[in-house]
Amino acid sequence: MSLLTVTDLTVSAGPRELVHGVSFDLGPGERLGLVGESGSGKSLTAMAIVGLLAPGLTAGGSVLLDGQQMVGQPDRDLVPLRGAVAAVVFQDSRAALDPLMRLGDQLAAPIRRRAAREGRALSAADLRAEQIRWLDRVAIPEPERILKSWPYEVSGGQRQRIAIAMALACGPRLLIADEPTTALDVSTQAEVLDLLDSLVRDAGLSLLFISHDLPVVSRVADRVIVMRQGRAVEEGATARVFTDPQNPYTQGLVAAARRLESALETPA
Amino acid sequence: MKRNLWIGIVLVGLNAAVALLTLVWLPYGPAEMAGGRLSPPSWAHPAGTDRLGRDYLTQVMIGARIAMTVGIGATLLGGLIGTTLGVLAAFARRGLDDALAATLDILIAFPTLLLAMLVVAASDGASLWTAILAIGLAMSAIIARLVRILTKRVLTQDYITAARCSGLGWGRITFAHILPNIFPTILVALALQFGLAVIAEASLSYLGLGTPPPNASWGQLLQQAQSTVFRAPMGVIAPGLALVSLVLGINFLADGLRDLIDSDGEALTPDEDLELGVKGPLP
Repeated sequence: MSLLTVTDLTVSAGPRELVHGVSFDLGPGERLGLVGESGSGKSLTAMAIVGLLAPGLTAGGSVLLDGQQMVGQPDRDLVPLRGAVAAVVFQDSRAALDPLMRLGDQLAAPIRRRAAREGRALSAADLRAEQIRWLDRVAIPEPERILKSWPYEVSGGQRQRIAIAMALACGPRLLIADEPTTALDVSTQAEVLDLLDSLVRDAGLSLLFISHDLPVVSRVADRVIVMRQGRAVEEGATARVFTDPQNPYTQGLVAAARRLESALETPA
Repeated sequence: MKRNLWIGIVLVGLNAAVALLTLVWLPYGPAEMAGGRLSPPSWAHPAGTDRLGRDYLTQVMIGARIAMTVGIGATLLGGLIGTTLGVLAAFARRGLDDALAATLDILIAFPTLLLAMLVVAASDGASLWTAILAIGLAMSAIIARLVRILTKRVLTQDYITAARCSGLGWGRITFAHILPNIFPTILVALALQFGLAVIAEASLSYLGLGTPPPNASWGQLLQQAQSTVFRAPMGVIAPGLALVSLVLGINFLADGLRDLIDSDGEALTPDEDLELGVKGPLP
C-alpha cells in the first residue's frame, strides 16, 4: 500500500484555482521529485499534503496520507499525523527556526514529542544524548556549543542541517523537502544535499523533494513530476524525463539546464 | 546608547523606593496635624503644610505608593486581559475576528472617565481598586489590539508553519513560540501604558474618582491645593514634580527598552509603532 496517494488535488484561493487536479502516489522508500518554476504550485501541493495551506486557500480532491484523508478534515484530526507520518524541511532555515529559542530547545521539542508518542520515558540525560546524536548525524561539529546557540549565531548551512535533524527527529516515514538547498551557497548546497540523501536512504524514508533546479532533483529523486501553472505536465523516471523529455515545456527546461551546465564547464 | 534606560531606571527606582519606604516609615502620620496651617517650607516640613496643618511631604510620599500600586495593578490587569483577548482574536475565524476588532475599537473610543464612573457606581464607591479596575480595563483594549496585530504577524512566519508541520498543536505553539516572540514589544507597550496609567489615576482622583482621603493620591493633592496655590505654592509644586518625575522616568524606561529591542534588529513597523504610542487610558 502506498504511503501517500494524491488524487485530483486542487488548491484554490477563493474563486481562483491555483493547482488544477494533480495526482500521484508515493510508496514506502520511494523518492519523488516535484519540479517547476516558482508559482507552478509545487509548494502549495506539498502544504496541502500536510493540511497546512495558508488561510484563504482551500484544497479539493483527495490526499490519503497513511490511509488518512487530509483534505477537508478538522485540524485536530491532522495534528497527530504531522511529524509522526510526514515532516517538512523548508527553504529558508532562518525563517523556519524560532529566532528567540536556543537551537537545543528547538531540537528537544520533536525528540520529546516522539518519546511521548512511543510511550518512552525520557530522562534529561537521554534527551541530551539524543540531541547530540542528531547533531552528529547531520555532521555538526561542537554539538555542545551549538545546542546552546541562538539561530542567528550559526551559519545557513548549519541551520539547515539542524532543521533537517528536527524534521527527522519527529520520526516520520515521509520527508517533504521544499527547496531545502535553494537558500544555500553552491558548495554548502552539495553537502546538505548529500547529507539529506544519505539520511533518507539509511532510514528507508519516502522523500518528496521539491525544487526548481533540475540537476538537484536528478541527484535525489527516482521519479519526477514536472509542474507548470498548477498542472502536472510530465511524469516519469528521472533518467527518462531528463534524457528524453516528451512535453515541450520539459524539453525547454532540460535544454536550459544543459546550456547552463556547458556554459559553466567551458573555460572563459 | 543606553542613557534613556538608565535615566528611566533611576527615576522610576527613586519613586519605587519612596513607595516602599512609606510602608515602614513616614515623617508624620498621614492625618496628623503636624504643624501650623499652610506653613512655608522649613526643616521640619520640607514641602510645607496644608490648610489643616498636615505635612505635604508625607502626603506626596504616600501618593508615590498609590501611583505605583495603581500603575502596577492596572498594567498587570490590562496586560493579562489584553494579551489573552489579542491572541484569541488573532486565532479567531474571520467574522469573529472582525467583530472582536470592532469591539476593541469601540472600547478604545469609550472614555476611561466614563468607564471609571461606571465602575465606581457599580461598587461601594471610589477606592484604589476601582481605579485599578477602570484603568486596567481601558488599557486591556489597547493592549489587545496591539497583541492581535503582533500575533497575526508571527503567525505568518515559517517557524510557526514548521512547528505545525512537526505536529505541534496551537496551544503549545502559543506558549512556546508566539508569546516569547511578541513579549519584547508587549513589554515596551506596557511600560508606556504604565506611565499613562499613572496620569489616568491622577486625573481620576483629581475628580474624586480615585483613592479616598486620608491616603491622598497626587491628583487629589493637586485638587485640594489649588484653592491655596498662591499662599502655599509647594502644595501644587510637590505632587506635580513627583508626578512628572515618575511619568517621565517611565517614558525614558520604555524608550530605553524599545532601543534595546530595535538594536536586536526587531524593528517595529510604522503601524506597530503607532499602536504603541498613540493612545493611552486617559479620561
